[in-house]
Amino acid sequence: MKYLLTTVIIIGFLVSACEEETTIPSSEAYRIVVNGFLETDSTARVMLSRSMAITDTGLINSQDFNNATVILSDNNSNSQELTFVPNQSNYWGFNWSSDAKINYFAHSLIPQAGNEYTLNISAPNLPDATATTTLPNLVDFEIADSNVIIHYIQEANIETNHVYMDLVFQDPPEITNYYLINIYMSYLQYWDGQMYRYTDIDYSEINCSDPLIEVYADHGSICLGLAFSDKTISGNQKRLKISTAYRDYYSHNHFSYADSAKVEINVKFSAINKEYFQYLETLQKFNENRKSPLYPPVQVFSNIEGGYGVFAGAAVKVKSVSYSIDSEPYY
Amino acid sequence: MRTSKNNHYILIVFLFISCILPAKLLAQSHTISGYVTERNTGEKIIFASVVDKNTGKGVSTNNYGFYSLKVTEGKTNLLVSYVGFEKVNLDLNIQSDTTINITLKEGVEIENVTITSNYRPVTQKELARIDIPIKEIKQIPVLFGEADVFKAIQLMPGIQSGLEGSAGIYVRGGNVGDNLFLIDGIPVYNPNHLYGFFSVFNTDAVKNVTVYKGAFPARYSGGTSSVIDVRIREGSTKEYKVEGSVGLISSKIKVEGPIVKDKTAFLISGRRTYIDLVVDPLKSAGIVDDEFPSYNFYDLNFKLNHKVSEKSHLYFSFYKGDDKIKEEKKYQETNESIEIYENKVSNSGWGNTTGSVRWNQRFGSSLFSNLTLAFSNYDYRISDDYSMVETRSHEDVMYNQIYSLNYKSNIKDLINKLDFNLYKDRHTIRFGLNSTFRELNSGESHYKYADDLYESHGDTAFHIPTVKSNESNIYLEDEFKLYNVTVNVGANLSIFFVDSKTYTNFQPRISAIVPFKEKLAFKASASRMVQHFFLISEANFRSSSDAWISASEDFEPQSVIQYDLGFSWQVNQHFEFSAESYYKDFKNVIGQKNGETIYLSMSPLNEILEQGTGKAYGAEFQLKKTEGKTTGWINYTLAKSERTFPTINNGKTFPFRYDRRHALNIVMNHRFNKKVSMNAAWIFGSGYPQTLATVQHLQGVPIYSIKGAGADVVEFFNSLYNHRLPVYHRLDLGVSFHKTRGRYSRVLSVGLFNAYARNNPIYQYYGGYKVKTIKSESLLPIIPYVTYSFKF
Repeated sequence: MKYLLTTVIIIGFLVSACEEETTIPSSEAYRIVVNGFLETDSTARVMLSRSMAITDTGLINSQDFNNATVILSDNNSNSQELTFVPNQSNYWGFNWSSDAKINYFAHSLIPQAGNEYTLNISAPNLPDATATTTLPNLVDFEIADSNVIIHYIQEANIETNHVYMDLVFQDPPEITNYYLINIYMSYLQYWDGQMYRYTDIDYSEINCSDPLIEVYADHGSICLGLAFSDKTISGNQKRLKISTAYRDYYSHNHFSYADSAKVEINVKFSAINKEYFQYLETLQKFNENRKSPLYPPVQVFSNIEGGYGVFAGAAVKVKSVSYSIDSEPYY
Repeated sequence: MRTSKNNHYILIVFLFISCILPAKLLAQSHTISGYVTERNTGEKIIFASVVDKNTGKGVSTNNYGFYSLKVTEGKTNLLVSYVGFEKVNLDLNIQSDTTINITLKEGVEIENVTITSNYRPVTQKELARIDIPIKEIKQIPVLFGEADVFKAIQLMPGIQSGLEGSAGIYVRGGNVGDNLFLIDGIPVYNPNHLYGFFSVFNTDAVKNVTVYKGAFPARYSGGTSSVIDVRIREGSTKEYKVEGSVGLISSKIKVEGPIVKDKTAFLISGRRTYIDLVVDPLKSAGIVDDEFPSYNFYDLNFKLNHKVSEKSHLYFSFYKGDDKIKEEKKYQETNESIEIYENKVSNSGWGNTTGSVRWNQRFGSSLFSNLTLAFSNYDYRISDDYSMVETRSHEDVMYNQIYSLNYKSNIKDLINKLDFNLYKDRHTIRFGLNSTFRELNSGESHYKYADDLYESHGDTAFHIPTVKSNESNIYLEDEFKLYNVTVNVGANLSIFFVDSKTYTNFQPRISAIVPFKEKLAFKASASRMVQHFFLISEANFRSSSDAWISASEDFEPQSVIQYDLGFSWQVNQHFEFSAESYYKDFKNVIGQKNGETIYLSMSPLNEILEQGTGKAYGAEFQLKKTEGKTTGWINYTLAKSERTFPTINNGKTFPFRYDRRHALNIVMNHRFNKKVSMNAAWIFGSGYPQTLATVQHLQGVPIYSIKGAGADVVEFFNSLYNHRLPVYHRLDLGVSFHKTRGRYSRVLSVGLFNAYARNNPIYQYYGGYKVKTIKSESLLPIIPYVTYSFKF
């Protein structure tokens, strides 16, 4: 008995003594992070950065790098090396926040709807990363109806123009389709017969109460994107009511000396592929759940072999409606 | 598809039964039947062994102490035995069907010798079935000295406890909700007190505990991983008895006795913790930290039994138990640039109430029936209120964050059962039917939050629609001997009506014990089990806060096909060895989709949950010493359990939340003399898996804004349950001092839980303000206990 008891106690102490320390292997911690979204209306571009172990204290915003070899090829044997563009601060003519650089661009390769693209990336001291994605086919849409209702908020002495639009599109049958809708504003002024365009760098607020919407891509408490699948409309035509808002005074501040001015509401209707949708869905969930300790952790979607992040694509169509802005500024 | 499969099962069982039923009839035989009871109390003994020594044929008493045995005419010798009781040898001359009620006298303890769990030779024990004598349960050293049914069960091979501080029993890779917990045959949905540290079963009131972890008899339906059948004492019909104990955190007492001697008896037992009664005044006085939880639980058992006639008995049972917890946490952090004040108040509780009326009726000497009418009610509630104020002086800003959550759910069952035992020649045939009307409110939640930092706020209330269902079962089971082979074959047909959907499931069961020489037996079984309820366990939330979901139009019933194979070897008079292996194939297990939680989501259940498959397999070994001054066992389990869902974890297979590869338990009891005994239990297990982000990287793409706003950090993990907690181990030690004077006996027990103060993490996380490191949260350090128990 004494012998057995002693043995048990000794085993206990031995087991407690030989415990291994939990560490994250560097091969897992430091990898290429791809944030690549191919769109049919611009040349291919991806953002590369480096991941860090969760325990690292380095600045995550400074993990981008310039010494990668990035090859993008399609299923038609077209291949192009993407070029690093240093200090990229202008993209589509807009200013970029410093922590979100699109740093690798294709010179001429514009992604085509329906094509499959493969990305091969190698960088010193990091495992190679590869990913493949297929762009969906373009889905056309119409802005079937639109009107403006002016909302006056007396307390704030602010007048807001709410624009209500009906979008109509035909969901392609027999395949599962995913969609993303954004809105951005352009302000046009006419001076001596010349038109000057200023495009807002932010996506505008977009609202929709249709139960079809699955992902409300919030930033703060404002919805900036609507994503959904066709699971309830499969193969059918859909009329979707959305709304946005703009203020006259904003444009007047910029164009107060113009002969005339207009606001252009650009609806960006993207047929996105499944990877894109899954990434949006999980990222939105991740951003929501991190706000509260009551929520479970979220596994953000990734389709990068040997790395992290996402490589996805969209076939994009943009259509606009415009409204004249009064010549008298509103104060 | 399902119908065709069911027909297939029916055909197989029918053919099998057709082959074995025409067993030879005995020429001149009569039936001896009756009850086996305790001499001092009249309490019926379950699973007492009644053997005809002339033929070697034997039966066990049923749940009501009844037996029926066919013997040849003339002289016969009957041996009746039960662990802890003196054996009885009866020399009989049987000329006709005879009723013989047998009383057993509690055994006089032999100096320095203890005998445990020798119900029957190990070679005759059913595969995957564990009988745990109450005496054995009381000998195991446990937390706070509170002897507990679950703590004993968790030390058995193939059975794991959850994390410390979490509820549950995890049997052979199944979830906690896959167990069917029965008190006197009535289901109990949350059998835990104090976050699962104790079960709701008061050991003073418990008569018998049987655990089936495979080879399920056909009479059971509803648990795909195990059936834990706990029978409560009915009450002494002979004399008054009082038993009780006073422990560090709770006390209990049981009183039983006759109302009309040998005819009507009662039993009442109660238990209450006094954590709240002690802690609340100490908190008020500033002696105990404000954050110490205020906790109370109680349970109450009331039984009444009445002998209507020699052939008819009536039983009434009532159980009620409830847990209430209040936690208040305050946190303050200040430095040169930042001040953080946090306050959190949590209230939660749950309770079970069950009641039943049972009527036993014998028809002749071979047919025994039991009619049960019962109800079961379970309710669960949570409320959390949190507030945080963060002031950043260098930025001259102040953030406020608040959230509150209220959640409640309940289950109501109305049950009726009719069971028959028919003793026919070499066959013990059990058949019956039952029906349960169930009303399930899976959850009403109200969640509010407001957060300056993330500029977000919300106020949502959500009620998962109440589900009303009816489950009916018909079963037939035959236990018989075919040559030397003991076979139990049967089937359970369940029909479940919910909404406009009907699920019909055929559940065939078969098991066999094949003796090989005298001391070795090989055993095998195959069974299919179905359950119509799912327990949604929150991996990231309070552990006892589990929600039940019904099978419905959206969710199909969960089923498991299980195969068991093993052998038992009576090594010598003192030692027995057994080894069992199993393979389980789960279908329609339920899981929460990525990032979803049933408590806080307003989406319909089919958007939060999905069904998948699972696999579990393993091998279990037990070496047990049953006689001598030192008794005990060594169990080792090697196991693996995994799950696969269509979308969860991107469709990749991942480990089950309570997948434990290695488990080793060593339990020893040593009797120095009649006055002093010592016990020790060492528990070792490889670490449970946990989901932990390993990598951080930028989102950094224009998802929400063409300028890239919203660029933020993703904390990424490759797979669910990608991280293993450190190994779990602890040593519990106890010493008991026994004293008996006449009718009065008392035991003083002292001991140490977690004797070498091992910090066993319940979870790990990345902590630290500037430098993140993996930190562990442990719950129970070394805890001494003293318990004084008495009986008279």
